[in-house]
Amino acid sequence: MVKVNLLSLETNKTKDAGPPITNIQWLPRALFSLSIIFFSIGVYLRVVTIYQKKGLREAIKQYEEVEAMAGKVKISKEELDKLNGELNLFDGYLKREIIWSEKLSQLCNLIPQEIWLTQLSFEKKGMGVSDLYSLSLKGSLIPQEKTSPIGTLSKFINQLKEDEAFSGDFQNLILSDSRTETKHNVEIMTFTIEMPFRKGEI
Amino acid sequence: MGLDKKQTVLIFSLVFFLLLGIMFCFIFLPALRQSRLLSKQIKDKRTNLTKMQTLTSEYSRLEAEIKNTREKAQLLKNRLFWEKDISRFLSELTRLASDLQIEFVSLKPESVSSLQQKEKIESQKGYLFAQVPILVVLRSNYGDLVRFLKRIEETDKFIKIESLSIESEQRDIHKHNVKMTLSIFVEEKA
Repeated sequence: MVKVNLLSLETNKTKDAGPPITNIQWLPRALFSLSIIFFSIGVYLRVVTIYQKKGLREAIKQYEEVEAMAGKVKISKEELDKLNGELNLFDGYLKREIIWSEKLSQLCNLIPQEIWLTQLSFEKKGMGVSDLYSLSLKGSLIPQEKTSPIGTLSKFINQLKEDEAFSGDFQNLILSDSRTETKHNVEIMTFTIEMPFRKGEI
Repeated sequence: MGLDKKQTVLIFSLVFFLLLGIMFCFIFLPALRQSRLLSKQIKDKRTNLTKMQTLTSEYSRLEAEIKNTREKAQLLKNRLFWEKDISRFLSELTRLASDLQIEFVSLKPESVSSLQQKEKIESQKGYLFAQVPILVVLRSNYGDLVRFLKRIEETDKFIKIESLSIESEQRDIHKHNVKMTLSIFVEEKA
């Protein structure tokens, strides 16, 4: 069966204008859906912001605690520096540059039979500020047979020089005086050896 | 002139759309910005926090080190400083020489005038202290002198040997006249 449109062309057109009215029917639905989406996003954002603010408050609180700790650490470091300064100060004053009991024992072992010391002194030489402490050894010697006094003295000086434990604290070894005299047909040499202290001050 | 259904829907939709737009611009966007800002601030704080996490352990370490150093400094301070009254020093010196063949000839602090000149007042690290030299003259044999010096060097309280002079006696070569300047440190009240 064949369907025939008997309406006039105009009437037919008016009826065709129907779809736009039908088309805008989606608008309220779309807007409703959009508003639901917006509302959901809004709620989500609000919740997120609340949690973020809470998190930030906690972070700030922790940060303040840590800052207080950083302050404490700074104060502790300063205190430690001060204490280390005190420790170094005391250490410096308590340090012995020369251990005399050891030095005298070492010296005793270095003196040969033909030599005897009459005086040992360790003092600041001169009156000036820059004057150094110096060890002065005064002594006498009677050389063995077939040995010259100067040879015996030279040997003694070399022994002193070579003994690092003894002479290590001193700059050098200077023979400042030596005299030979004969008493009762025996040749005796008197001598003075100066040993400036390496560090100047004790 | 009444509005037909289509126009009403369109106007309503337009107004609603505008309202949504206004909401988006004035509520959503600021909220998004705030959220991003908060997120950044939290991230920054957390980054700093992780950097500063070590502070707690560092603080504990420092406290332990301070305690240790303070004890050491106190020990050294006790060792270094004597009481201002030197009678304790004199009795300590005689105690050190008690069983040795040492004969004290004189044992005295240097005279007031020279003390004033020589007294070395140090003011460092908040400490004010004086170095008090004491001239000691004694007679002894070499071995006992070495033992005496060793005891001075090893005693609990610090005694500094400033100068030393040993001279053999003319009549008895085993005896020596010893002159030495010993120094002690006395803490001054600031």
